[in-house]
Amino acid sequence: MNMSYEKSAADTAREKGSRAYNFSPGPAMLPLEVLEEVHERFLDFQGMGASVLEISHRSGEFMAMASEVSQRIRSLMGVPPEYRILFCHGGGHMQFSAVPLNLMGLKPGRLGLYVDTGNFSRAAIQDAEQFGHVRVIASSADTGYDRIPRIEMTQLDPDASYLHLTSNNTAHGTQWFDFPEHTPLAMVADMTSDIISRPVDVSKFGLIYAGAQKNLGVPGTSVVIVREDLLGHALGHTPSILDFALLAEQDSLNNTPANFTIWVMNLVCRWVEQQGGLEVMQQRAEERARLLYDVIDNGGFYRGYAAHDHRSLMNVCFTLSDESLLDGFLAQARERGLIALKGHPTRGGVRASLYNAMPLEGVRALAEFMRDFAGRNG
Amino acid sequence: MMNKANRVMNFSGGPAVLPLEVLEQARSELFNYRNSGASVMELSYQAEEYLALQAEALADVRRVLDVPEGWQVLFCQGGGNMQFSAVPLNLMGLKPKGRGAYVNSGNFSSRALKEAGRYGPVDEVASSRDTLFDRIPEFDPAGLHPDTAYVHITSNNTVMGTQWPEIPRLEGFPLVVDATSELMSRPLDFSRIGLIYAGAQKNLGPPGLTVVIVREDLLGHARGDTPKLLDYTRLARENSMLCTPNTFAIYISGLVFKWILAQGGVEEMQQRALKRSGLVYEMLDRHSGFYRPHSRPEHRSCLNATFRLPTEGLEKSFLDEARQQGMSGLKGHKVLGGIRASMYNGLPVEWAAALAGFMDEFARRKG
Repeated sequence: MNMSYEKSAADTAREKGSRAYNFSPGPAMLPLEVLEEVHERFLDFQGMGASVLEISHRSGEFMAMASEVSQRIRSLMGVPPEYRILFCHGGGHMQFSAVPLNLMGLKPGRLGLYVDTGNFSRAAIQDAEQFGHVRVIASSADTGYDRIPRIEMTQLDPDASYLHLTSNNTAHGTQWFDFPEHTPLAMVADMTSDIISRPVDVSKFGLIYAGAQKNLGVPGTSVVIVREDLLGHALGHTPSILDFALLAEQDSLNNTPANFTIWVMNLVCRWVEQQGGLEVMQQRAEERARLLYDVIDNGGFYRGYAAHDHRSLMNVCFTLSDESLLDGFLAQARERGLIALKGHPTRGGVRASLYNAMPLEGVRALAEFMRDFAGRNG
Repeated sequence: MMNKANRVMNFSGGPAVLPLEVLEQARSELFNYRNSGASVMELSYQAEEYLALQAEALADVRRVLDVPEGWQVLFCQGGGNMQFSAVPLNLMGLKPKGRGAYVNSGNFSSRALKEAGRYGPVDEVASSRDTLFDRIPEFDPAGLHPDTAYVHITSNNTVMGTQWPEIPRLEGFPLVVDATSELMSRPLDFSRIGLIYAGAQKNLGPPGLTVVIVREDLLGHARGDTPKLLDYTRLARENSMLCTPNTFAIYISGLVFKWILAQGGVEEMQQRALKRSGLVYEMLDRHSGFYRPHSRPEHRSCLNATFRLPTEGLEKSFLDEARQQGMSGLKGHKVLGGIRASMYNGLPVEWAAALAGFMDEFARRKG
């Protein structure tokens, strides 16, 4: 392999210019500025003469960077001091096991309450059943997960260890806008697909978790934000690497972390800060989503899946009234540099995922294509 | 921009130096992976381009190590430490009252042993603790408890600088090998092994990927409370795609596998490992009054050379001067102190020669 990978500046610029608008649900588009910095510093992390991929996680430089990310998340999200911010191996799926392993033991009944809003909720429910009792207190399965179901305060059994919900449903295009208030038990939210896309009141939650690969960067690490009083109740058979109390004790450096993921997360969080923080992210998310929902609502050519009040700002899921046109739609979109629009296998149709890094121009281009396609085929 | 001249000679114990060609290739296609329109780290793990990449990486593990039919190659997350839990969760159930047998040869063996003890009975069947883990302990399989479900060894001890000269052959008990710091640095005889695992961050790539290679007849015995992502049987069934994998770590490791193949495979990796470590051990022997190797000669690791100098002051000067000559990552693990030179697949032989030259000169000047 004695070849040179040196590329001329012109080649690199051309490749940058040929990037598509990537509507992938995750791993997903990163801000170009972040990729540029990764490219620039890929071979040399902070003047160490080695790539971030090659340095010890016990080096001063790496440890300082890891603590910087957690500071950034704390300040972006307004995480109160009594919460710990942890980095875990694996993504949201690892947390489907880690959460019950750590929290079921909070109450003697080992009962978790779950709200079922789609395929990720269901996966979380299934995994939790291995470790204790699970009660699904509300579900929108009957209506094809087109909404966030109502929950009543009376369902919130105070003897349960926790209440689990999924704040944004990537596959179905629904999102929670009104989280339950004053819950008598710890509320746990899987925010994998909408963390740092809008301000949330962290103090309402006992625990928030998110895989990094949507709004926070690249896959390999999940972030867990947990109120300290919930630590220390892990079941006896919890793998040590998934035990939140042990992770909190050692600042998540119990073993070698996925260093690259943490670096990219730091760059992404800094980018969000520079853009103006979570209020700005929310405004942009609303603007992006509105562009697409407007096209869907006008003309009848497209059919949205989600009930209006629960439409996700992150994942716009729809199909074509004439589904035989779907393949043509996806192929033509691809030709125009609009990629990864195919819907989740359980849903079919089209899904446009619009995370923080998706530029408004990308969504404008998609909206225009949708109008054009409808005009030609409607 | 960075060039080769700025590259430090990085002897880190892991995460560790990667082949420069791999880093350069990754950098060169960072914005647009093979005309997909996106960076490899932005691709959906269901995208055609990514699926092809992962399938190829799995196939290349087989190619590099010559993995026989009837074995599964799995990609996991969480490093070697996650396997300290996954191994007992998956394998203790091989026998009705199954127990784990552990050979304790250092830091990571001790951790593996302790973690396994949380899931069932474990026996420490041999240990070199009494001699500060300066050797691979003598181990007699004849004494194994009949309920032993598996025997666990750590084939290379990163912290102590010792290595099993060869993987032992056991009759009647599956051998589990933590090969985190040596996988793909020498050929493997799979007829001796039941399961072998390695975190990628030494010889295989960056952290975030763990490679597990398991004989199929050992699958299907996981405990009921095994977390889904630690269950080998489910991982095998779903081609390690139970959820979003660490795509970038797999991509980089995939490039490393290709690099190993292009260099001449594991045989060549072994030659280089012997050459590199030989250069350093030659200096330890030449200046035996000055350098104090930790490991007994017959168990010296080809990957991690550990030694001390007469005083801590000299150790500090050694590290400072090495640093000035462009060598980093040489500080020993806190358990042993002193110096540790880690020399994995990605470390050019010339760097080991540079270190040996410096060691020689330093010993002459200060010894």
